[in-house]
Amino acid sequence: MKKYPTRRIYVVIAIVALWATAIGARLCFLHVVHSADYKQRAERQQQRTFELTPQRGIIYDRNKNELAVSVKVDSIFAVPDEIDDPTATAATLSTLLGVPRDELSQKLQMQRSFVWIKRKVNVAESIALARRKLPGIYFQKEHHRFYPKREMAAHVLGYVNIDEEGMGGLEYRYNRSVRGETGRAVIMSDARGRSFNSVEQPPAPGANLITTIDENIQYILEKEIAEAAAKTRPKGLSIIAMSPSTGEILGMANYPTFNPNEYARSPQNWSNHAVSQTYEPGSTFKIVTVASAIEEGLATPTDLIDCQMGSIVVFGRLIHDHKPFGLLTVKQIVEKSSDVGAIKLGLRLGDERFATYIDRLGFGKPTNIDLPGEERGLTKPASHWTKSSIGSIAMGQEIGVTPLQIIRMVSVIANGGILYEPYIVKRIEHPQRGVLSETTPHGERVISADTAAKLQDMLEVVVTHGTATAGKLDGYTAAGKTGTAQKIDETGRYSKTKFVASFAGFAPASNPVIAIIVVIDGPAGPHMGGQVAAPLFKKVAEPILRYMSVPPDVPSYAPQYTVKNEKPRLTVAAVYDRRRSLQPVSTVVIHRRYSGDGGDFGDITIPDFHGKSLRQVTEECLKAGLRLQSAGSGAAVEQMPPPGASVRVGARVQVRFSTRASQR
Amino acid sequence: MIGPFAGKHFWKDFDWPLLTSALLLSVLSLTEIYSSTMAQPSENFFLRQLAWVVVGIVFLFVVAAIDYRLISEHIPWLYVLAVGSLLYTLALGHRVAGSKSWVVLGRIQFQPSEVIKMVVVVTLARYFSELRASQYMTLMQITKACVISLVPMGLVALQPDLGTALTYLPAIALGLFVRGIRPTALISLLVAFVLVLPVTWFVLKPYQKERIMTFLDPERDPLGKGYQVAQSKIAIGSGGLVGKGLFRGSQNQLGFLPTRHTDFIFSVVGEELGFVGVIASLGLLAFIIFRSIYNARTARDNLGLFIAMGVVGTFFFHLIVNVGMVIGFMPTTGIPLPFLSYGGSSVLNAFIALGLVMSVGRCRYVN
Repeated sequence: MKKYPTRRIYVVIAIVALWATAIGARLCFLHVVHSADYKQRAERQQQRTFELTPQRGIIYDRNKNELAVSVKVDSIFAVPDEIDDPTATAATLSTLLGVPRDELSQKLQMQRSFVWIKRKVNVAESIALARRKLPGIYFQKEHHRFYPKREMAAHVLGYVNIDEEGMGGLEYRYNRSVRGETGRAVIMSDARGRSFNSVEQPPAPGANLITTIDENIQYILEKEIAEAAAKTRPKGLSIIAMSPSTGEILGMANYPTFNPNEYARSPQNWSNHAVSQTYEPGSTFKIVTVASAIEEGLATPTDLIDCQMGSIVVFGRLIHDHKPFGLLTVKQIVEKSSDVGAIKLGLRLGDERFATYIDRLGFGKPTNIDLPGEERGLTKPASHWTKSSIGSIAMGQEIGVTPLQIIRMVSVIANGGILYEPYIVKRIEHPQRGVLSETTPHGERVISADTAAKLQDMLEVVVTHGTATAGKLDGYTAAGKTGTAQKIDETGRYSKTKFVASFAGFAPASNPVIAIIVVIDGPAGPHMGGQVAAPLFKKVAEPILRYMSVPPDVPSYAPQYTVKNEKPRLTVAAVYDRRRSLQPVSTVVIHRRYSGDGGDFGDITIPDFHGKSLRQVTEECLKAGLRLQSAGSGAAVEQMPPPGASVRVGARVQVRFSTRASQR
Repeated sequence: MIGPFAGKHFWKDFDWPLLTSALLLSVLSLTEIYSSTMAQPSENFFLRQLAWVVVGIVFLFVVAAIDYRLISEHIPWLYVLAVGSLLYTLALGHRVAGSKSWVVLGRIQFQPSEVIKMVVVVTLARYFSELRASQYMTLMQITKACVISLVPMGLVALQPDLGTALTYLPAIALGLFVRGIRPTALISLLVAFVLVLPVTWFVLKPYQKERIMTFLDPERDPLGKGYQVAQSKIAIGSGGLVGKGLFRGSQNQLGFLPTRHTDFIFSVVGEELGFVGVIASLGLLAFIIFRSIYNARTARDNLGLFIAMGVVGTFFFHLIVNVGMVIGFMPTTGIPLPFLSYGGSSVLNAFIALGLVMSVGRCRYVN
């Protein structure tokens, strides 16, 4: 029998080979090319992954009072695959949680293994839902930011969104430190939807912030702002309280404000005008003009200047003073806020030198405070000034500043010539990793202690006899300068009805522990800085000084009281201590120029006067260059500052004498 | 004269590479069956399969040792016995999942429809080889050949187990093709096949229709959306190049893969051993097929050629349908993968088939 030709077998071989190639290619496609996609699909159906929001760090005030905390709340999610009757479940959820039924029913019918139903529900909702034991509905603990003191320091703190991301203020600025690390929960589930294994990477808590804010000072500011705003109905009102010798912000508040627990309700109130508002400073800026002129040796406080009975022509432009003045000393120019006088001092400086001082005193650049949204202000280099610009700038026009810039400049006068970088966060502390960072005051000498001391005297007179007598404190000396600026209206001209009234000052005048600026934007009714801003300064400064246990330096007619508080708090002595430990950083140029007068700040140590006679004390003070303010007779029984404190030349020392035997 | 058993050259002429391939596949099969049934240890899938593999190997040696011409001589009564067993199954078989395809003998269960496949193959081979030499087969001859195949096939289809019934087709199709039929006859056969399919449809009872619809159309699967194939593709794709490791395939272990120790064993290999694993196992199967084709071409006579080609057709068809299903080329059908899928009857059939191929190969050297 002949064997059949095997030729046709080759066809079979070809078919098998072809098939093998096709299968090989397909497998390569699945296994290699699209592997990542399939891996993801496998994971999606086998694992349910949740993000676990971490616990945000606590934000404290300087005395460890909690300003922002994290609380645990329930969030509710569904696993749609496990729900047999989405419509009924949606209806139940809708009545219990108040979420629209259509939205829920749509969510529950999605082809997904995880969907949020409602996040961060309140306790009542959570309990009601737990009681129903709905299949496929689960609870997840989440952290929720809570501001126990509601509006307190809202602009400083900021707020967080539903995912616990900081969206404003310190919450935004320090989000990376405070937020912590998101955790993940992975639940493996089998084909029947039974969960049987869970791997969890717990969220890491965030770091705590210890701020320089003092809750009590902040409270005083906010209380007075609310009262003043009700009275003067301004467009905006900002107050900053700062420690002049460190740059620490003790309080910062604005009107209008918001409750960060319900931040979404008033987005128009979110911005922190204390750092973000640019305005024309007006007369407060004359401090810069006068300080620069004195620093440059172009004037002394007692120099007489002709104020030309109320008008001056600057490079062809006629400028009127607010009042006609004749011959005034430089000190009187500050006291009465003479525009012509300021302009004349400005002209002595000239564009270049004046511009240098404006820059050196921190204008036209951010202060680098640790808050978002800070404005740099509006300044121009001298080369861009018009000929008559110097006249405007000398009296605080044609320049834009922020409240923070002005109070920082005033602090330079108060602390004897050092420009400090303002800051709010003292320390970042992690619950497990300890202190992550600590801020130390950073300052730079910009004018001499001598110039600063001269300016202090002048500014004190402004309060005692000048434009800011309404800011005179009961029991304390104070110094400062008012400002009233016309706002630029829609036509681009200075408005006759819209003003920014301000007062920037410090107290006590001799040993300032606090610098305060009050800026009132568009007050209704009286609009002069001396009329509306200075009284508000008085209202906040007095309780703050008493709270800080600063001993009065002038006779007081008001009942004396101090806040009983066991917690450590900022005291004058503490301020002095800090000042002593600080090494001032000065630029080479300035240092060389002022090394001769030996008058750096904080170089006199207060002697112990206890038990000494008035005569002895007077002589010691004269020798040391201290100004004595004595009361009573007999032997010294009480003194302020305390023995051993460092002060600068010309500081005032209060000593009380008594005929009764010393207590010591 | 044809000796009943192999002579002294049996071990020397034995096809060791073919056996090695089959054993390697069996080891892989046992490992993956163990892996995919770890969750149900009480069912003893692994041990049962191991027992069937041992039985299969015994059968392989027996069949390989017998001269295929001797088998051919006894094929008429074997064929009658096979058809009888199918009739017995139809009458007294054990119904599993709606199909009466199981026979229970004491503690052993098996599917005659699988075990007798090779009887049909040898019967057809004998018929083809005894035809007078001519270029093309006559219509009468074609009809007779079809009847040989269609009787057992019809009985299996009546169980009803359409999937297994279809596996009877490749042996006759390949036989007709190799023996030679007129192109016109080839076309008329194809047309007849296409026409018969809808006619069959009207003969079936409603519940059978429903079962076939579900069977042919994965969209009707109660879990919907071609669930099984989708899960199978995810398993294979997520295995990547080298797989997730033995016993570590999450699709397999978490129960996302359907019938994973039987029909979808290939997906388990793909998930746990990756591209490397599936290519290796496909390589072994391809080696078995090409080796069988080689034995067919070099067979001493037409009987050997048709037997070997019948085996090739059967194996290849199983491979096309099963792998095609697993990777989404074809609709879901319950056809096992030779040597790999769990199932005693299937394993036994595969080893018997391999034994026949070895017998054909060995007898080249025997007179």
